[in-house]
Amino acid sequence: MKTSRKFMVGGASIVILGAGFAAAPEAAVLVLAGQPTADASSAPEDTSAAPSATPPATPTPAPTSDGSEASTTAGTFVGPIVTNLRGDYQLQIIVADGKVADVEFLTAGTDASQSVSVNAMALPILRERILEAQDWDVEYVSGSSFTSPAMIESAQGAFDDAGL
Amino acid sequence: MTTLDVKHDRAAQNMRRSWWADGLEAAMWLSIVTGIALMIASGALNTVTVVDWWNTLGRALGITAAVMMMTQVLLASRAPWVERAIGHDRAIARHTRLGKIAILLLFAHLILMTATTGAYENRSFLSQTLTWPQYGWFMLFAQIAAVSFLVVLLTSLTAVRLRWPYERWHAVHLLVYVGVAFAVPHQFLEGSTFVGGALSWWFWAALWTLSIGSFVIFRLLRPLVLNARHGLTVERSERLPDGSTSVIMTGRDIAALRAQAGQFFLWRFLNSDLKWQSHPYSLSTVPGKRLRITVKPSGDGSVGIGAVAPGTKVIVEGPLGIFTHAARTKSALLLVSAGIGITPVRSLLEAVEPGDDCTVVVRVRSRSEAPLLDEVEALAAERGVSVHVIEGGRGQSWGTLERPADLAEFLPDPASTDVYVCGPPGWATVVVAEALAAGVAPEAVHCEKFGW
Repeated sequence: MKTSRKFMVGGASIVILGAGFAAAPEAAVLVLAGQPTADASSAPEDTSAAPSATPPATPTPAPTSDGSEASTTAGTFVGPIVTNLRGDYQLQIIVADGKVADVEFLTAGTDASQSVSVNAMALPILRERILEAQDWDVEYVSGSSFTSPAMIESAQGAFDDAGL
Repeated sequence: MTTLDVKHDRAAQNMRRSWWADGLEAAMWLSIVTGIALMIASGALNTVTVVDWWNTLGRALGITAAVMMMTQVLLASRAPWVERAIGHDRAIARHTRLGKIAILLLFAHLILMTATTGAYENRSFLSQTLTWPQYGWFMLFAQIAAVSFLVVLLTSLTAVRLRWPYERWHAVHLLVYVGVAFAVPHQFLEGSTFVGGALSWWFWAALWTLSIGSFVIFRLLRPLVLNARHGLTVERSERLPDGSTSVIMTGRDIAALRAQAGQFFLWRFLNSDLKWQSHPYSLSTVPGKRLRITVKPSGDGSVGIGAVAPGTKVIVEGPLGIFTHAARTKSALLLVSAGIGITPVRSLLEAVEPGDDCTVVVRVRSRSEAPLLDEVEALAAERGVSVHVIEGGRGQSWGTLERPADLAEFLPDPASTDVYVCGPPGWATVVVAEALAAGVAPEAVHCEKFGW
């Protein structure tokens, strides 16, 4: 290749790479609620998890004295740790007045940048779906074929514990 | 057309070809850079740990290797816009050189991705390797691809290549198509390539479509269509006094093949001995209603061709090569040949226009062993072209023992002469070097090599 053309290719390469840098997003931030609970069967009253950057968790209300309802479940219910090829997954649900008030993720995948970015994308959507459906049996988030099934399985455990 | 017009025309054509050739190379580099830029745009440089850096490097190597593999497929595709720009022999030479680098990069990618993914997920290298298939069918496919590439790399090493017959080597080489076909899905289905969004999906889909599409169209479909349309068969073969054989073929609408003097085809004669072999032979006449090749017995194939019966069906790939008048860049022409290399020179000479400034140099061991020399002399006499026959045993120069030759003596005006060289590789290298030393422009030296 002629030298002048090599320079043209070099210049074009710098421009293209520069555009790539410019378009690069901020580092994906995946904020989990506190440390993973080592024992999945720990007491459901464990509310010591640190507040997270996800919308503030509703403080666990005191059980209401409304006796007319048969079950007014309240508290935090931790799902089991589910492990697959991409790591460990665990969530907890915060229940008030027999309704799921919030979903918090305790463990998700690994430190691999791919794992972090997939989870940062998928977990907020999964949270919305569970809250909206008030059920663990929600649709998988596209592009998270390891995260979705594992988190949903953990959610199923938590819902079972809560008797929902 | 005046001489000046011809000169302008040739300069413009040469310029266009050089743009094409450099453009293809530039396209490869820019595709690699764009692939990496898309990876960066998807956030690959948001690295924290050392393992992240290695992981990103592994991805970049995978992207580079993928673009090089596409280039490989393209260089072997016989697409006219590759063949005409850089010529068949150089396309294949580049294919050979790039291929080994591409496969080595693929393995660097595989090793880095396995090691870093294993590190993230607390698995050893071996256990990660064994776990890959559980990530999805496409990862199992990628592993099958890796094994295919390894086999191809090992059999393409010079040591094996020299020992194996071409046909056996080529049969194993076909595994690269398994490799490419099995490696592509994991690029689309596994990995972070498309976290960045639709742009990178379209980018990779377009590149793979272009390269695999060219291959399917020009390497697979076009020969089928051409052979069905032209239905080439052997009309007759003629034994020449020096021991070589001319084979004359006919078929329907040969003109539509648009073959030019100096070009070659890959020929496959469909009789029981030769149907598994395909050989490159230059046309030894200007292609008209018939195509003629002239073959000197050397390998097992060229010996067999002497016995091809009239009526034998022939399958061809081509026309190939840019050893043609169309590739000329200057006004004068010097044709230099040795041995059976005289065949394209013979057809180029036949296509010389009256008044064209042309000189022919033929190197022969002895007149009685020289194929087509009588035809060359007759054609030259008709066209007023001078022929210099250098006859005798091998000496120090590319000439003979008795007459050490110096190319400069046939080059009164090297700066405005195109030199076409065809002969045994070692001999041709010497002639090419002398032409360049005498002051012939690099783009005006034409030499196609047929050693595999």
